[in-house]
Amino acid sequence: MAEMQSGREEIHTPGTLALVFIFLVWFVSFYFLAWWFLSQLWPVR
Amino acid sequence: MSLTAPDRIWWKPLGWQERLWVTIAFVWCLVLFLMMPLWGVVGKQNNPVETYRVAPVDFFRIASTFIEKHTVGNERGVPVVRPPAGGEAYLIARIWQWTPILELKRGETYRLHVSSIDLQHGLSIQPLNMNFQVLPGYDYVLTLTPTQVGEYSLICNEYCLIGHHNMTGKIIVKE
Amino acid sequence: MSTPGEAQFRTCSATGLHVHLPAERLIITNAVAAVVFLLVGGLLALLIALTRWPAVQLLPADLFYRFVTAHGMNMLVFWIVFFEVAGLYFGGAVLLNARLVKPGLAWLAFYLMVAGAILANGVVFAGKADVMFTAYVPMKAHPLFYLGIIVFAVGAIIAVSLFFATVVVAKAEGRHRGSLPLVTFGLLTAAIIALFTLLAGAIIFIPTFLWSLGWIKEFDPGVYRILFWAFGHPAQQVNLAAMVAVWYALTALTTGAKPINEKLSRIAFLLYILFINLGSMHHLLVDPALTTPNRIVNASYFMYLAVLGSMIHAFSIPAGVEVAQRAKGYTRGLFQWLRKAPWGEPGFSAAALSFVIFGFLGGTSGVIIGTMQLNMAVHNTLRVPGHFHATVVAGTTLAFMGLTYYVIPLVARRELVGRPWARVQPYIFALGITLLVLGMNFSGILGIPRRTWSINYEGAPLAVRFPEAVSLTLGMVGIGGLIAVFGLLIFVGVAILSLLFGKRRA
Repeated sequence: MAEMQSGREEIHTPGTLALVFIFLVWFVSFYFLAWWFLSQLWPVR
Repeated sequence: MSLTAPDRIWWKPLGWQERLWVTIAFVWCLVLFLMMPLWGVVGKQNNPVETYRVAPVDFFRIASTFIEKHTVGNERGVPVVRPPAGGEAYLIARIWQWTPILELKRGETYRLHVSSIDLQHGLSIQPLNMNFQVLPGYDYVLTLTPTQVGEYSLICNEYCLIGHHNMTGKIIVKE
Repeated sequence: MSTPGEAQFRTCSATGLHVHLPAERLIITNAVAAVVFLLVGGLLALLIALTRWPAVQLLPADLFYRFVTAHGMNMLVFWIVFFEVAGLYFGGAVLLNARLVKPGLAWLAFYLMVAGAILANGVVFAGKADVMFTAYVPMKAHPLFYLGIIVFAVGAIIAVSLFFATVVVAKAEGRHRGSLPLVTFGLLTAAIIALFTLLAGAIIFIPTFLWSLGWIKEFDPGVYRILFWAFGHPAQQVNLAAMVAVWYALTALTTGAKPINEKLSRIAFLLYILFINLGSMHHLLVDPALTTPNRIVNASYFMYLAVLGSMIHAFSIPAGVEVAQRAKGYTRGLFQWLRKAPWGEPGFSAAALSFVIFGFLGGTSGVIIGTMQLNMAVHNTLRVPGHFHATVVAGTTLAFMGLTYYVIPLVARRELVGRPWARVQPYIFALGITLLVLGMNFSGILGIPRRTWSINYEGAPLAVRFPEAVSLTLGMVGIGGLIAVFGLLIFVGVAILSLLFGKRRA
């Protein structure tokens, strides 16, 4: 079988994959929300 | 398991799920990194850099001259000062008062020089919530453009001993 | 083959490990010291939270500032480092079936740490160091404040060095063969960063001590900040690496989880060592004089490679649990493995809650507020403590609490007293801290400053008014703090009572 040939032990963790994607969506959302808030401030440099 | 010695050969290839996540995570890290220089180019809010060494006594002298020259009033003992539109303005941090009250014109860009003549202070403009560190010995120039008319409070958010929670100031933006 | 001190080992009936008795005594002693300082810091936390809650405003201003100084010091330094030293001795000696090198020196280290901690606390409570733990020059504390911290740091350096020696000797004496267990590897990462941190601490605290004595005349405040944070930020990453190592340990102990890929986890730890120091820039993003390229390269931990390390662990840790749980038959749907996880085991719930809160609230907020431009909206507001209470309290401290519930039966050989309390404690603590953190974050977004006794500004000539909502958000800080301290007291109670009165195990 393909798995044995490559020596690769495929792990099966769909739940974890779902969790980390939920985390990523949360992260990305708040990150860009923060940039939007920043854009409302006075221009400064 | 993680509490015991691993297999003798533990350098094993990653499964597809691990590789997928590591790739996505790496791409996200690159996005995080690139946003900063990108905003430097397209964004209007960027961290000020212009700084000059200045002895506190000299900054006080220069700022006091500026205050005298442009005073237009007084509020509760604090001079109200109208700097030239689009010009240099000065703000002194000292325990426990921000001086002077600045009266700015909407849409004009000012070079605001901030320094402390004693301890470290934190310039915090409310309710905008813009925050900068203010150090004695450093003249920090914030090139700032007020965009909305109104009265803004200044508080200090760097602990500066017992009067820290009473250290306030004001910026007034007029049309 | 006869190796020195053979008579000083016992064999653990539960794990089969050869436990070096001097190491065992030192692990328990350092852990007890840690819990004592946790208790002090926790009582201070209660008083502080009830002061920042405007409806209560408990302490007068001078005591507030004094207690915030003491709270930061006792929690961020003394509680955490004593516990980490206990963890290092556990990972280096017990997990490797090895002897702790030079226990006499380890005791010296312990006494130096205790002496330094007592000295520093004494000076602070005497009112001679109301400067916050950061002690930003030109604010000046009594010289003994700096000296206390230096003495503590010297003890910690000795302890960390003994850990390295123990690992080397364990290999040399053949007590441990092959690669280090992942948990020990993670602790090794923490120890390497700790060594750098403590040396940086010497570089900042020794000159500041001399300045406080008047032997050095001028101390540039900008230079102080850079040097302080070269110590202060890596110090937090020690806690991060140690916490992750504890997560691996707790998931292994409670679910039988194995690392899904040792190579991946080890590389992730390595990324911490390589890039973590650069994160010091996060504290200097709105400082004068620093340049933009400098800020961008450093604030991103060099392209966020250290964050990548965390994101790898974020996958590896639950994946290990999922594989172990699925092997037990919990294969229905996406999450049966998680629902059927041992949520009643305090070691598991502590690790899981710590992981989730650290991830969603702590780590993400850290990256966001540590972004160069975004920091302008955040610096010195209550969002900063909001961030680090999610990382170092909900994250590291809660994970350490979970580990303690295993150290007590396995190392101190005492059954837990008050098991039902232990089972519920992680949930109570997590709830309290989450409320506190959310309250701090919302307050900070509304502009509320950190390290500030009161926000009514009634003593100021020019008035300041914050939005009405801050009474609610600061109320969350107060109530969250109350609940969290309650959870902390349960933990301390269970730990101390178990050590004193728990039924002895074989």
